[in-house]
Amino acid sequence: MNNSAEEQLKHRLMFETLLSEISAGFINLSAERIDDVILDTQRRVCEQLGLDFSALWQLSLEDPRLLCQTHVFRPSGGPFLPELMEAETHFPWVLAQLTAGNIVAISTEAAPKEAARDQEVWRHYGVKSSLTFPLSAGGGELIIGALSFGTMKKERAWPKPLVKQLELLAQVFANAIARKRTDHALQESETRLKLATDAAGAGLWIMNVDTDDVWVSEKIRDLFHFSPHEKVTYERFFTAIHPDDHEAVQEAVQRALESGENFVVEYRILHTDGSIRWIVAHGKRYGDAEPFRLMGVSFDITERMNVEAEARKQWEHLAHVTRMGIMGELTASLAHEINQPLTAIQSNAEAAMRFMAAAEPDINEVRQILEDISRDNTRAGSIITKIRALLKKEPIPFAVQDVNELIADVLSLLRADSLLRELVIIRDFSPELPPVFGDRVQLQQVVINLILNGAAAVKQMPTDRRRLVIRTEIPKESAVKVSITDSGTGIGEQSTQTLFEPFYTTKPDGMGMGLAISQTIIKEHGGTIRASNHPEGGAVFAFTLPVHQGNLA
Amino acid sequence: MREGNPIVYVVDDDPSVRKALERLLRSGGYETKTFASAPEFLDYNPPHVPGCLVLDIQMPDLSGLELQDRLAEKEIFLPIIFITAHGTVPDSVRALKAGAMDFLEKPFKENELLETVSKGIQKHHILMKQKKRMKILTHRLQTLTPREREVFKLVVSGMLNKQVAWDLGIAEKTVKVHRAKVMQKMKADSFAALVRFAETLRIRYSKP
Repeated sequence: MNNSAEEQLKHRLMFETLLSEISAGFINLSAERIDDVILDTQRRVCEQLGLDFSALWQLSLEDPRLLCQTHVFRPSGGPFLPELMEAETHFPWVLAQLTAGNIVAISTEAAPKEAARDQEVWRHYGVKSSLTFPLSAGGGELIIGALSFGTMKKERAWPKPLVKQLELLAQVFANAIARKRTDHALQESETRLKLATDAAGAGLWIMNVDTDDVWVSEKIRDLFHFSPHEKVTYERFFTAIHPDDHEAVQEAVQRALESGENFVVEYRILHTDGSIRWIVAHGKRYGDAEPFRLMGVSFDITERMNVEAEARKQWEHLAHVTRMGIMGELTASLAHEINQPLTAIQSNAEAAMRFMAAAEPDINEVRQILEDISRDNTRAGSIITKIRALLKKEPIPFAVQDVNELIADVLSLLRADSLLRELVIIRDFSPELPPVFGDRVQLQQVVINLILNGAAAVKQMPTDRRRLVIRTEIPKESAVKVSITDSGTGIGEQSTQTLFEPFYTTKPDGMGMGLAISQTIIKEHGGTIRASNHPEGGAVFAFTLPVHQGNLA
Repeated sequence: MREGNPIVYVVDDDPSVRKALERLLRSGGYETKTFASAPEFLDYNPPHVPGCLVLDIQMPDLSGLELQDRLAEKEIFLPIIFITAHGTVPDSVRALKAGAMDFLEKPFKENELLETVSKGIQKHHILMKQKKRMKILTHRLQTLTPREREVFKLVVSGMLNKQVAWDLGIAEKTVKVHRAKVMQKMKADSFAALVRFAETLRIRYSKP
């Protein structure tokens, strides 16, 4: 008796060791090995417990009434088991129990009356006693199948501790099967994606964050000059990327991993021969919990970038020519602005000489004169600097700009323009205008264009209607708006968008590029420009620019 | 009527130019009054002393050329020296046609402004004297009787007393009396002076 109890305990311990071994084996088990390990587990459990069979059934994905026999261990043979079985027909009572979440532990001959049909089928297959667990995905209520163990040679009891232990095994199986299913679905979509991306000339990559292993398609190996069987890691990727772009790419990847949102990043590959390719990568994080995977496509956009660079150069040239044109028109105004301080300097100097020639020169007065001369000299210099800046051909780097100041500068240059001389300019500047980020010269070009257009629009109006309102405001937290409202006759029948098309002009000597270029400039700054009619007459030209988000320091 | 010191008026919207011009003119010994805009000057009634107006063409509100027109309407005949930082030919033609003294481009040549201002004041001085004389002569003319005026008109045209008498159908002796009266009333100390007065007053004889 004592011996037998000891034997039993030893048995139980061995079985528990086996179960924990099995459970551990399922952790980090790759999807393709799941089936083999399940079969092996069935065998080991049967051998350990002296069972005659173990079968795993899965609900068919196509028809949920059908059960598919996917894993079976039945060394002692018996009548042929169907691969597909209608559960409702063959095991109606067991099915009802499983669906209700119950475990069925039974001897065939002790089956209740309601299980008459089930009993018949067991007898047919020579089953003496059986233990059947429902398999549910992720521990949820959805039944994905059933796992059964049984004897055929003799009846067997199913003690509670054993049932508990095997229930655990059923859960491990269910989770493994569920994982395999998602993995399968993922693989399928990967295959489809690869087909699509290959067709589009895109390279495909999948980055496993935990293993630092990056799977890449052939196309990516081509683009990055990776050798065919070389192992690609995150770090290896970066050795191919242009050092200047490392930060941008790293940031994009980091953000995508943290937020789970799509990322798009443009960067350069620097090949060992010094050649450069432009790449755009679109990617997304997969999985809701770690370990994440980052999956994406990359395209070679070098050609597009070259075309864009060429177009950009052409455009800059055109913008410059247009600016020169405007400056030509403004000659009178600019000459006026420079000649004013020069006149003051010259008159002051002449006066000083006369005062000095007097018997008792007033030194104090002469000192004041010299101070004024110096100030006017600075004034003339700053005007020349402003003009020179506007005539510059090379694009200047974007910088933080104060829009009010930028407009005030333009007005100081235009002050004496014959068109503007005859009209009233009302400045309605928001004092709290946040800064924007941009090219000062280009933005001034837009302002000059709009002001000159407005001035031309009111030229023929009676004196009291020659008015231009220049307003700056903050329509929403993230934008700065500049509007120029004239008191002319407004915009006619033509659609307000036509105005912005190249070569559209209402002026006899106009080139029709002013608004087209203004629109391009504003778009380049991430803003919008619109024309509309003012409810009280006249036209409004308004543009918005995004507020500069960076550090002001 | 006592004549005061000449005053130079400066109208320019640019404060630093205004200040510099005021100094330059003061260094040249002129009393100066400055104005920041044309309407400001229009509101001001210049005293009756010789002077001239230094006027910027390009100003907001009312341009120099428009001020010139308004002053003519108000019968203020100050000589105008236009100054401009960027002169256009049509502007200068219009200004000079409307009687401007001169048209100077900023910045000026050395002494240019002071010299022109000096000429302008002289011109205004003469103009004022002429106007004053005209006023006196007109006043004297008004004291003549209609007959005396007729005699005045005819004798200064070079007619002899006899011809005048014939023309008017009166006695030569009567003509002599009228003539003496005209000389006396017009305060002419010689016949030559009377002829000059007639010229000033634009009295001319036209044959019927």
